[in-house]
Amino acid sequence: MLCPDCGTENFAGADNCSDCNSDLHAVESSSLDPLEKRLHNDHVIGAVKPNPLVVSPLDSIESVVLQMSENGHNCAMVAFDGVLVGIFTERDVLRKLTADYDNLKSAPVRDFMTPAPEALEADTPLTFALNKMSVGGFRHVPVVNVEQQPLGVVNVKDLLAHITANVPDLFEA
Amino acid sequence: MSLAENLHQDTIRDLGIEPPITVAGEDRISTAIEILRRKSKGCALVCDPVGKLLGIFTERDILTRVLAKGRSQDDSVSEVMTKNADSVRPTDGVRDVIRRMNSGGYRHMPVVDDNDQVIGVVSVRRIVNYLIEHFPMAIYNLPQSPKTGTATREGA
Repeated sequence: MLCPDCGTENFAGADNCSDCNSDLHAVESSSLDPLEKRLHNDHVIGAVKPNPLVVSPLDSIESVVLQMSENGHNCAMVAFDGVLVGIFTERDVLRKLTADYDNLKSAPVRDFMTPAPEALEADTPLTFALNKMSVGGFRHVPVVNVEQQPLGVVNVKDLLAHITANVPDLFEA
Repeated sequence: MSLAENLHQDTIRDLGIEPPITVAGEDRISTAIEILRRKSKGCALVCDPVGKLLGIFTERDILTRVLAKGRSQDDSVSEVMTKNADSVRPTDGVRDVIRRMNSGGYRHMPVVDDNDQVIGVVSVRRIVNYLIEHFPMAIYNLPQSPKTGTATREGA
C-alpha cells in the first residue's frame, strides 16, 4: 500500500504508514469523482484495441514495418509458441533502423525487438497501467493472460480514448 | 481537489509547454530523422523562417511515408509532413486538448501563441503524467468495486 501523504510503500493491510503514521484508509471510494472511479475500477483489457499485431521472431523487419504501416499499428508483439517474447515499436524503428534501413530490413525482428517486456494481466486496474507508463516511461505495454499469451497492447492514446469515451461529460466542448 | 476539478481549471500553460524540435520544410528527411533520433523525440514541427507552423513530422510518418514506401531520405521534409496541423494555445484547457488529441488521433500537438508563432509542443505522454500527478495516491489502496469493470472498447 502506498502512503497518500509521503508515498512510502507499506505492507498490504497496514492501517498506518510505517514512515509518517498517516491513515492509509483516508479516502473512501464514494468520494471519488467519475473519472477517478473509472481509472480505479476499470480493467486494462477494456482499453485494449482488438486484433493486435502479433509476429514471429523470425519475421523480417520489412514485413513487420509494412504490417505496422498498413494496419495502423504503433507496435508489434513478438510471440514464440504463442508466448510473448518481445515487443517492437515505432521508437525501435527510429532508434535502431532508420540510419541503415535498406541493409537491415531483411534481418529478423528478434534482432531489434525489446526482449522480455514488462506485461500486464488483463484485470490490472487502469491506474496501475497509467502509473507504469508514467513512472517507467513506457508508451506501449503488452497485456497477457496467465499463460503469457499476448491479448493486446495498451498505449497512452488508447487510455485517453477509453476515459473520454467513458466520462464524456468531462470532455464536452 | 479531485482529478475532474483539476481538469476543469488547468490549461496547457499549467502542464508546462515542452520546447519543440523544429526543422525547415526544405530540410532533408534524413536530417529531421537524425535530430529526432539524437534527441529521442517523436515529432518535429516544420516552420517557416519566421516561426510560423507549416506542418508536423512524426515517427509514425517515418514508418508509413518513408520506410514502408521506400522513399528516399534525401527528399525534403515538406513532402512527407502533415500539412495544416491542428494546434493549441497556451490558454486552452487540458481537457480540451485531451478531447482534440483523442478525436484527431494525435500523440503530439503544436502549441502556438496569439501571433501563430510556434512556442512548443504538448504530448500525450505529458497528459498521462499529468493524470498521475493529480490522481490521489490514496486511491491505490482502495479495493476495486466488483461490479464496475468495463466491457467497452470505445476508441478501438
